[in-house]
Amino acid sequence: MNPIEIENITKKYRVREKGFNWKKNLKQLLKIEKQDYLTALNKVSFSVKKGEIFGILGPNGAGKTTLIKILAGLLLPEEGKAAINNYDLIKDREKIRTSVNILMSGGWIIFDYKLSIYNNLKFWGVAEGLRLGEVKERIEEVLKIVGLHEKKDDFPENLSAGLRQKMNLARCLLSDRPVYLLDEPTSNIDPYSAEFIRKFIKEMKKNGKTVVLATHNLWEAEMLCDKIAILNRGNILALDETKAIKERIGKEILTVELEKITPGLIRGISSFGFVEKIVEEKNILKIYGNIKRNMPTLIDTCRKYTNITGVDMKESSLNDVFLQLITEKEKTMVMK
Amino acid sequence: MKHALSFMEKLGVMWVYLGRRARLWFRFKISFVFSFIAMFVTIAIFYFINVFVGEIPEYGNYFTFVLIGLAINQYMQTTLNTYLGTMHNMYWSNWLEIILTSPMRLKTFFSSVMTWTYLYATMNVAFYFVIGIFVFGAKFTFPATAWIVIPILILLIISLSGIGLISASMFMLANAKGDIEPIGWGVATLSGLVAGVYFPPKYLPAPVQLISKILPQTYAIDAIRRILLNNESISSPSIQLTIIYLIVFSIILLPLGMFMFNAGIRKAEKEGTLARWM
Ligand SMILES: Nc1ncnc2c1ncn2[C@@H]1O[C@H](COP(=O)(O)OP(=O)(O)OP(=O)(O)O)[C@@H](O)[C@H]1O
Ligand SMILES: [Mg+2]
Repeated sequence: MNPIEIENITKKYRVREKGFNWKKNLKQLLKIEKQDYLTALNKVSFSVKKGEIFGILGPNGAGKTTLIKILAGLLLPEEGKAAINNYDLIKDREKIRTSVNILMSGGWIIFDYKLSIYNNLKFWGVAEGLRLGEVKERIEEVLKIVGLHEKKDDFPENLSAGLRQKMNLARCLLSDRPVYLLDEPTSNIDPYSAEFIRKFIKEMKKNGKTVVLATHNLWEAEMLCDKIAILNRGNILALDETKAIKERIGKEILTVELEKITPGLIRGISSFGFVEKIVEEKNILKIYGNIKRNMPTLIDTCRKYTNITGVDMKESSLNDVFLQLITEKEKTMVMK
Repeated sequence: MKHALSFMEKLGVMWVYLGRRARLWFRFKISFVFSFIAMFVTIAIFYFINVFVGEIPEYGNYFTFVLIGLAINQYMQTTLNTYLGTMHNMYWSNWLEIILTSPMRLKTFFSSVMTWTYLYATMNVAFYFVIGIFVFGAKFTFPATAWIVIPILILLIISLSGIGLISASMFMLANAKGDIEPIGWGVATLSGLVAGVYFPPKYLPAPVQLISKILPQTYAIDAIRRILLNNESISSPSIQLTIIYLIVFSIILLPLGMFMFNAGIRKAEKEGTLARWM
């Protein structure tokens, strides 16, 4: 069985008002008045294979953290089934908690700024079950891995955000668990440290670890993930292999700036089999499809109808897919 | 991948936790100098009050009477406040989630925290007695039967732990996210007035005495004073009654406290409020 299997997970949060409203609370308790709920996850299902990096992409408030917490056994969903490392989400969630490693973007707030890096980690080491005799060696080992071993007697208050995140990563590494749940591990971090963490994630995959990576850095997801789920307002909009998701709207995009756009031109271009989609914006045409090989044909066709004032071609990125999916969704929401 | 710790590993956690707290404590040298000065001043205040009060019926010298009250109060306040205070710290620093995902789990963590706070309280109590006896000349005879004080104190701590846990559960159940909550605060504040820490409860108006008769600490404080000041022993019926009363209190309050605390954690798991920031 796969290390992560979830099915129809739905999570609703109570919408809390500011302050304490006795009347309202009492009414809700007596079921006279209905609770207001916010659906943070709506029937989410997927599975992650061993050794895979699974990306969860979505804008702020999409439900990424909610999903990560459910996978860690720290948050109970209202509906759905899940098994993490073969443990049942409800019955065995204590075992789930100790079989996954969770790393959060600001997770270093657990460290005490008045204690050295070493002394901070020592407690979390023994909490993992390291014996007093082996904890020092293990801490030095993980600090070497993240490149902090020379700073082991420094205090975390003197560390930059990037180094603090590395310290947090070191804490994670004190225990050896098969699944890593990473919630925006590179946000607020300089490019150099972020690159280090990304390399590290690749390393985890090599070592056979299963990784779930929540991020809104599309480029990062594109580079690291084998599979991607795009999440918005608690709904999965797309779920596929990274390559397939990227190709969803065509491999390449040709942007042509023209003097004017005529219906004949559009008809002409869309008649080609290699064109998958055309988007028209004022005097700009965006042509999606298998463009590279057929560029001369396309340019010639355009010239037949009008003058070209600018051309640009690029491979479609996750960014394009993401923006398109999210805005499509927004549009349908407006129409409703 | 470990799911639980062995007994020796739990002891290891406790040991490292105590070391960590001691290290933090020593880093604030000034603050612990100040806290000792404050204790010294408190004892001095009662020493001078004693000059006016002198003897009180049944118990003798007021200064020795109140020293015992202050000492027990240390353990009481610690027990009533630490669970809630720890919840508060764990919530704001995201410790709770990380502890839940470690094989150490909450029980071992709380045991470590409580061990530290009782060691700290014991150090304060020792300081009270050293100052009281050697600086201000308090006289204690410490009879041979004085050992019964220890089981009484332990029973008192167990029954108040129930209230401490109920207080901590309010952090989640009633969403009391400050470091004060009405139940624990009420009991801690009231016991200063009615439980006989500073004066015998019999001077209180009759209706207020009723409250003092409900609280387990009233009985424990009185019994400990009888043992230390009046040489009473385990054969005395009032001491035996106190012990029975404390056992009954513990049997009711401790499981209730644990039940409510667990219900609180479960509520937080549903609401997603185990941690503040993430
Ligand atoms: N404990 C909570 N109680 C009530 N609502 C919550 C709680 N936690 C999250 N929410 C709401 O649920 C929705 C999803 O939140 P979540 O934190 O999972 O999003 P996210 O994708 O991680 O966003 P971000 O990119 O900002 O981290 C948001 O609308 C958020 O306001
Ligand atoms: Mg988030």
